[in-house]
Amino acid sequence: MGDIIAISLPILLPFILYVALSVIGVVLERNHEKQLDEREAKVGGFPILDLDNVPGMTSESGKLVSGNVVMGTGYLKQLTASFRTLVGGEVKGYQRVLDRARREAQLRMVESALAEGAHAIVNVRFETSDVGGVKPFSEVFCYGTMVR
Amino acid sequence: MLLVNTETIPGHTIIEARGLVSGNTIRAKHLGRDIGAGLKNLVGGELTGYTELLNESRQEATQRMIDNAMAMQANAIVNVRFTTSAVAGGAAELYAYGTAVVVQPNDA
Repeated sequence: MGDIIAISLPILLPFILYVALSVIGVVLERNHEKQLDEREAKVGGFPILDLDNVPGMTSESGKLVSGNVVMGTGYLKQLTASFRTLVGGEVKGYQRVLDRARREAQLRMVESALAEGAHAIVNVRFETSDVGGVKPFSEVFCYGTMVR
Repeated sequence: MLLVNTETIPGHTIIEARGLVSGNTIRAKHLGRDIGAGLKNLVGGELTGYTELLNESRQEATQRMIDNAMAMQANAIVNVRFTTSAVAGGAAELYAYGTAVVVQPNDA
């Protein structure tokens, strides 16, 4: 019995680690999505446009606002994605990470604008860039002009 | 200094365009932060150290653009754009540019 454990442990260990890290990753991802839902509900209805003015509204002043976030994709998702590239198709793992990053960056921009008493944010732009070199780190930067 | 990424500033009139201004900075992350981020990336999620680093660097680039505009005696920058690109060795370049203008409040 002891022999079986001694032999199988080195083989099983990477597998156990893989499962444990995946589970932690999924839990963290769900928590973040839940938190995003709550914060989005709180600022719901605030006008965010990528036009350069709000139709039918006159404003007195404008100021640049922005929000950014760097997200790591996680090595496990990178591994899964590398298998995905063998057959092609949508990489759901990455899609979800970038979706969270974009929502987070937008919320940070909106929250900072609201703190300064903005009525709306116009001319919103998103920019996504790869900042990790060989590592799967992506930055989402969101900016616009808040108007009062 | 007024900064907007629209072509006009609400409540202000642009009297004169002074020209294109820009600012950039290239930052590399330091080893400690990189190791921390590497560990965090085992499970994925936000890498706070990197978020702050890029935020500070972008402010630096913006400040250089503002200094540039001040040298031109401008009091606002319109149509501001940002770009980010990865350069060799895992360093990132942050670049900000816009048009320096002289504006006047409408009620003055």
